[in-house]
Amino acid sequence: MAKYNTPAMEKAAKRRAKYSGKGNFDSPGRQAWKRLKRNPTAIVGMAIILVVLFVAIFANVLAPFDPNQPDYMALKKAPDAVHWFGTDSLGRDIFSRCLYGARYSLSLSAITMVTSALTGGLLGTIAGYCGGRVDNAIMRVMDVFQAIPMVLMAMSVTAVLGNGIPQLIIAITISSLSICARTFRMAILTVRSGEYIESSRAINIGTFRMILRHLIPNAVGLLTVQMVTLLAAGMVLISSLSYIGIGIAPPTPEWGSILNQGKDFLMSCPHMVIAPTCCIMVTILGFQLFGVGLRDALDPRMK
Amino acid sequence: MALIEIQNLKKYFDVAKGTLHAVDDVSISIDAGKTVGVVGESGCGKSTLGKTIMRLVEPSSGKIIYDGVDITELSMREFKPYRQKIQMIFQDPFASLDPRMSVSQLIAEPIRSLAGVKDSAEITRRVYELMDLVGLARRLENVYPHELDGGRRQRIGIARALASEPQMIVCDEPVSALDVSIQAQILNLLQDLQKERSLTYIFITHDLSVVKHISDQIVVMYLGQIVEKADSKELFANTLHPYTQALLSAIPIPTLQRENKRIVLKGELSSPIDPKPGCRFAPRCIYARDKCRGETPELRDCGNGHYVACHYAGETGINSD
Repeated sequence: MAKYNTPAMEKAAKRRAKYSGKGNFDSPGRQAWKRLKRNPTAIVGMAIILVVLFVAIFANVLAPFDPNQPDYMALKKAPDAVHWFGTDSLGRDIFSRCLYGARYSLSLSAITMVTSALTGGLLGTIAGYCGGRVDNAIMRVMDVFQAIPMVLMAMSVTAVLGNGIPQLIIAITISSLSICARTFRMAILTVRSGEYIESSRAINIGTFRMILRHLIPNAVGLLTVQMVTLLAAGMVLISSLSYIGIGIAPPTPEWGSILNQGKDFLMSCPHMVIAPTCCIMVTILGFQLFGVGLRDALDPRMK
Repeated sequence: MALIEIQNLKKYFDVAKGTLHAVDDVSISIDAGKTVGVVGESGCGKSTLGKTIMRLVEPSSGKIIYDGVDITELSMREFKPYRQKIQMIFQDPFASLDPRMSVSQLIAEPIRSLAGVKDSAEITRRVYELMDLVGLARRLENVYPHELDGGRRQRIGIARALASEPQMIVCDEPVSALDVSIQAQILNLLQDLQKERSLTYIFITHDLSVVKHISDQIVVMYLGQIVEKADSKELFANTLHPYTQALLSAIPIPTLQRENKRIVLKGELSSPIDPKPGCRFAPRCIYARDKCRGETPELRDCGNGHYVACHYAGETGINSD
């Protein structure tokens, strides 16, 4: 094997090898994975997500204490060797509660992302694909929805439906409906106007195959980041609602509700809010980094 | 007999400001195995004309008679089989190929959808056959179009158009997005294919020099209308319309002796939205007189199958010599 003096030479040699070879090419998925691996921010994001996911799954094994077990001998203790993140006003271990919190925050935001992508996404896809009157009708209704702030909308829905996890999911789905519909509609419109859609029409590609093989694969790249952002937004919304006391009811150790219980002692015991806040922040950062990396990796033009 | 006859084809678009006359009363007849060059600047409706033949755009009125059948009368269902016989090569090979499909997938698509082949081994065989035909190396089968240069991409476009073994191909500026050196390769390929398979071409371009060598007949369009129509040789030998003369003078001729008289057109295309009566070229024509601004010139026969839409064509001063 010859030695190459510069990275550029090496790259050129690889390229030559690639094009002169017998045609050993990777599948698109493998290529995307290769591109993702080369992107440091995406790797950092993925690492954070994997850690949070690991914590969420094995919270019961990892947690040193029962998250709901009060210890009246250790009230409002600052972080030390036993209670890493300190204890709350009832003496519960905040570290254990944060570990369990990952379960609720992650699963709930994932579920709400799927439900809003299915409902809002479907509406947006129909609007974008059909156009004209259908588009107008759907999007004007979405305008009405968008006029109401997300938190307010979620609050009103929970006020009507009551407290509880299914109600919370419905509330968040409804409040992110318009954003979802808009995003999907834009993606479909962008893809639909592409000249390759017209050239597919010229060779009699049917509607079904057109949507499946051309519109969706090309829209996925545009939508991944949005979906990951939506996931992060859902997480913030769930936490916010729990924080103001209408989301997940205490004593369930959701990050927002841990914050809620700590807020009264903000001045005297700041550790009660710092730990769950950091959990929320780092997780969302992880999703954002990963989302951006994923978008670049899914686009075969990015090399 | 003519393979395809376009009769009084019109395509109007309703826009906010009025009616846009994209194609206005165009009639062309093409014999089997021949090439008709459609020339005009951007926005003159030549691409719309091509898309109308493929029914990618529905005409407002007029007929397109293909092999005795008026294809504009057919329902979409009835028309679809005709896309096996009439195919299209698109202008921009960078935009007209799905970026998420590999070369072999792109070429396999029409084999499946148009030629109706379902057997995957047969599809692979045909993909290779088409790749050989258009000069794409087989090792490129799993490459994505963005990894290829414009010429190779356009070869994919040509392979897709040939998949159903059509009789006629609408070439919508197939070389205008390519480098000059690659243009010649693609044009030669198209000519070889025509000889081999006796294809009929409608060759749409803005560059007269491109169609000069490959066209049997040339149609010059301006703002949706035909201004001049003649056999290729006749058109170049005896250019009658001032607009065609201006286009011709824009072709650089590499000689030292001859001094080229360059006719530079001033101003922009006038608006195709609700055009006023009179010659549409009049605002930019150096010979325009009062009659040109008031009276629409009809396409008239000047002998030799040479048609021109100009009141004063052939008169002294306007004649090409």
